[in-house]
Amino acid sequence: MRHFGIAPETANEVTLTEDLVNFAGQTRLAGTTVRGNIYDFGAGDVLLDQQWYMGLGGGFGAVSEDFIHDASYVKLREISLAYNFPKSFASKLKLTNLGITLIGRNLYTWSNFADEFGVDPETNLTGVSNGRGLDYFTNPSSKSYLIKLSLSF
Amino acid sequence: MKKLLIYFLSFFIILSGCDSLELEETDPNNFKDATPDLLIKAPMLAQTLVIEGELARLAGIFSNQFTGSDRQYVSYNSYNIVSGDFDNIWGNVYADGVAQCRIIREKAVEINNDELEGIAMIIEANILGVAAALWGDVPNTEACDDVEFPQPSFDGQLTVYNAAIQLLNTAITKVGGAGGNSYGSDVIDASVRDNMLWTDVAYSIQARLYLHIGDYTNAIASANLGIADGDSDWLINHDDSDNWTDGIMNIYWNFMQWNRYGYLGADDAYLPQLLINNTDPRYDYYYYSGDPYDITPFAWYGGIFQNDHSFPVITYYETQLIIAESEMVDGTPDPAAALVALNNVRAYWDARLDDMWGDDDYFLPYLATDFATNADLLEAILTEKYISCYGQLESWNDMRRTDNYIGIPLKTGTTDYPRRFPIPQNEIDANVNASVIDIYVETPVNAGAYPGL
Repeated sequence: MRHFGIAPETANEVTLTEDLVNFAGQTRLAGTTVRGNIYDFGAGDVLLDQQWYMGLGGGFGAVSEDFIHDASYVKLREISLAYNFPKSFASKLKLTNLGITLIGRNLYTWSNFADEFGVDPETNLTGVSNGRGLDYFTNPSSKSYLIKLSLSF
Repeated sequence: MKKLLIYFLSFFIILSGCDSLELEETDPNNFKDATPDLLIKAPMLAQTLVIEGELARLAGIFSNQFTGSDRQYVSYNSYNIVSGDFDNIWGNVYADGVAQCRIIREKAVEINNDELEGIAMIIEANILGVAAALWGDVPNTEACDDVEFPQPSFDGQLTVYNAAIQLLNTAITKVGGAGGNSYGSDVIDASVRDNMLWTDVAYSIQARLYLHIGDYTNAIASANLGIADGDSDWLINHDDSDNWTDGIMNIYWNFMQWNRYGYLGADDAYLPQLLINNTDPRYDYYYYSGDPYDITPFAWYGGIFQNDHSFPVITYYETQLIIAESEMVDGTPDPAAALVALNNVRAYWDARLDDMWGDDDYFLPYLATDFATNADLLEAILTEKYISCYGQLESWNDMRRTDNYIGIPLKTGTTDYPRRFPIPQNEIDANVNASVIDIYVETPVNAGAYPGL
């Protein structure tokens, strides 16, 4: 996602306070505003810009450790609110029971992953397979609201 | 209890009575063997993947003939490769290549077929030579025998080269007058089948191997017995009848037009700029440019990597350029002999472009007076080889071997170019004898200084 410049972190804009070198070895002067991030790998700040995110920092490169994230999450999978009408009301409609339920699915996710990196920790490019958690142009689980009407005769 | 035991035992007796192995061996849909004349195509195709596939594309990026433009290839453009990238091709080299050649050789001896045995030897020697050139020390004597050597040792690079050279000597005595039409006729390009001779091809490969190890005297001797004209190259057949048949079409085309459009470019590459600066007409055959900032290797109709265009294993022009270079670096330089060989290559390209684009003076012979010094002539020879061997492993092999004599610039943001491929991760995981070596460490045969310097 970083490779294509559509990950949240690649949307960031920084204004440099000092001259910084990017992945291609080019120097960007202080005062320049660039799309990217400033990062310290251990030898001082460097500029992570398009050169980095399209190359080693893009997920297609040789180094994969950078792309393994903690994707633990808590998800509000389903919540429902049900109301059963009184028997006396139901019997007027020749029903033994009448109920209505409001259901909400995937209403909220608590996860560092969703906040920082992607849209949904449940996402997986390869579908039902041994490969898990590959975030690559897959849609998140949809949030949905349902109304259920139960009629018992 | 006794009764139960009897039931139990008889159950086993019944089970052991039916031989499941026999059933499998007679399954017509699951045959396990074939005659060697059919098998020979397998290592030929494995060799094709090795010399024309991913490794050639990487070598082309490293020798700055291509640019890695998209996704994984962007990293390759700054020489970022890892051992895991080479797992599959290692299988092509050994399991599909060398191992098959050895099986064919055994079977050919059983049916007393010297020709076939010799051809299998030539393919095996070529694949081993390629492996030694790219990886340095590689398994050979203990390779492809998982029963006796489940963890084969790695033979020294020079030992592997010498073994391949000796194997070619034996092969030459075996193949007799066999040509491109014998065995694998649909694997070899139709244009050369009638002329290609296995003996000549073997000598040319031998010359290449001698050149790699710096034995220039023997390189000249073998090259002189090698491929004698431009119609007798060993070319891989890719004639897909313009149906874009996956598995038949040119592998560069397959990669660039079929599977991975946009990954391989040439925008910041050196070779296109070199051709433009030299007003070399081959630019229009090698590269396609929409405008000056959008250059790609020419994988379209009329280009070198057209879907049905053949791809070379070993050629006449390479053989001549081996002679030309060797004459210049073997003891006292012999510029006159080198010039003859270099002009042979110019004549070859002139004729080839004549065939494609109509008669014209594309390349005139060089004169001795064109070169002020021997170094100038050597540079012209190596530059011609860099251009002629476009898209082939030899471009990168030469760059490393000659300590980059012609001064191919490095990719942006890099300070050194890779000198070898890493041993594949699968091999490291499974074989205690495999070692991790940095890709910037020269292979043993390239470690010394190039004598042309």
